[in-house]
Amino acid sequence: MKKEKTVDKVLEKMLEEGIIENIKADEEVKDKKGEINLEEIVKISSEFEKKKKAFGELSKRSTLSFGTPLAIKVAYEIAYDFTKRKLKLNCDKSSLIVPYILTLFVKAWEESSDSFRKYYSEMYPEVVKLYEFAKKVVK
Amino acid sequence: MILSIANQKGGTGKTTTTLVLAYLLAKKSKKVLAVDFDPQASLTMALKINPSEISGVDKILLNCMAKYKEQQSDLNFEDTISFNIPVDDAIETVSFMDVEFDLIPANPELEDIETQLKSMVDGDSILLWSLSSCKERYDIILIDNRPALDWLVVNALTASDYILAPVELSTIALGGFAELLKTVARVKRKFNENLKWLGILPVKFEKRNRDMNKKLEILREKVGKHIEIFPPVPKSVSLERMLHIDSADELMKNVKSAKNVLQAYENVTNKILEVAVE
Repeated sequence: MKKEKTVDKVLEKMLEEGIIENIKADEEVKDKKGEINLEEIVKISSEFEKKKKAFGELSKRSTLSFGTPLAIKVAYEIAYDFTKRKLKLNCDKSSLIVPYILTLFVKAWEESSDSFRKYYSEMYPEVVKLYEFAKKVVK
Repeated sequence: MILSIANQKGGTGKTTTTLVLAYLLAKKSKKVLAVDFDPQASLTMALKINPSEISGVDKILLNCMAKYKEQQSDLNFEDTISFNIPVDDAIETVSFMDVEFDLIPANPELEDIETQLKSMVDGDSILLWSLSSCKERYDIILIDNRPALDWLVVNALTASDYILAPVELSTIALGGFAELLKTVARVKRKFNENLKWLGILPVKFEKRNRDMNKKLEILREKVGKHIEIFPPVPKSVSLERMLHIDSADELMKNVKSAKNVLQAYENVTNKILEVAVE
């Protein structure tokens, strides 16, 4: 009987830990969602829809030396990661037009921690130039 | 909505639950897609499909992985990013008793995919993208998971809106369920913050078994405040015989003849319909 009670106590503890993890995860997710105003981003992105064509032309210019494929990929990676992890729009990737990605990228970059920015800048030096560029476009 | 039926312990009735829910939902005129996401292909075989003769969910995943890699290397400013994965070739419409629903079958090759998913960037989202082209066509997509906590299960949970865990009321089974709770928390943090619990479905419940009642009490006390615990599915001798499902028709006949078993699954069905409407 005593042994049975002990086993139940262990089980209770394990279930408690599991449920606490779930509650913590929900709270963290809630906090993350609060960081970005989704409506605001959607509004910005719809404005950028109008600029899409012009932006496409702009990107073709050779003078934009910082628009290297690698830098684009960095923007994509960051914006994509941001989108996926924080806003969960990944079911509908076709709606992610480039200006929208850059909008997200700028926001993601600005709201990242210093250590994250340092880490990414070291890994991809183009990211800072791309940020400056994207910021102008987003503006 | 996409619902994962998951528990890393085997023999808790995941396939039975998937099958019965698919039946009951189809019976209520819902457009249902069942995805067999277990290399053992129990659901596929129960529905009388030979896994070695079909293009299963593994082919869809491989196709999606190839497209993903292709798009990653070609990405430029002009591109929009889309994954239009053709899934229709893999969908089988099954007539099951007096209803019909769609099935994406599985075969043992799915096992090999797990290793590939583990080693690729975004390997958690392949099923999500694979289903995105057909998601809108269905009211409910049910994913029957394998008894494990691996990258196939992570994929299923990343693709899902809800999770339902059938659990047995024993110390070992509930200990395993505690691990599943932690896995779900990890998936919420890292891959799918929109994942919610539909609930826990205690199965094989023996009303007069004191230990099972005690375990149910513990489950309700420790977990019930945060996750809905459905009324248990009573243990049924005829269902036990069907543990390794030979025929889905036989299984469903047994469920329908045991009114209390049927009622337990009806409760879950009603909850699915409730959240699907929301």
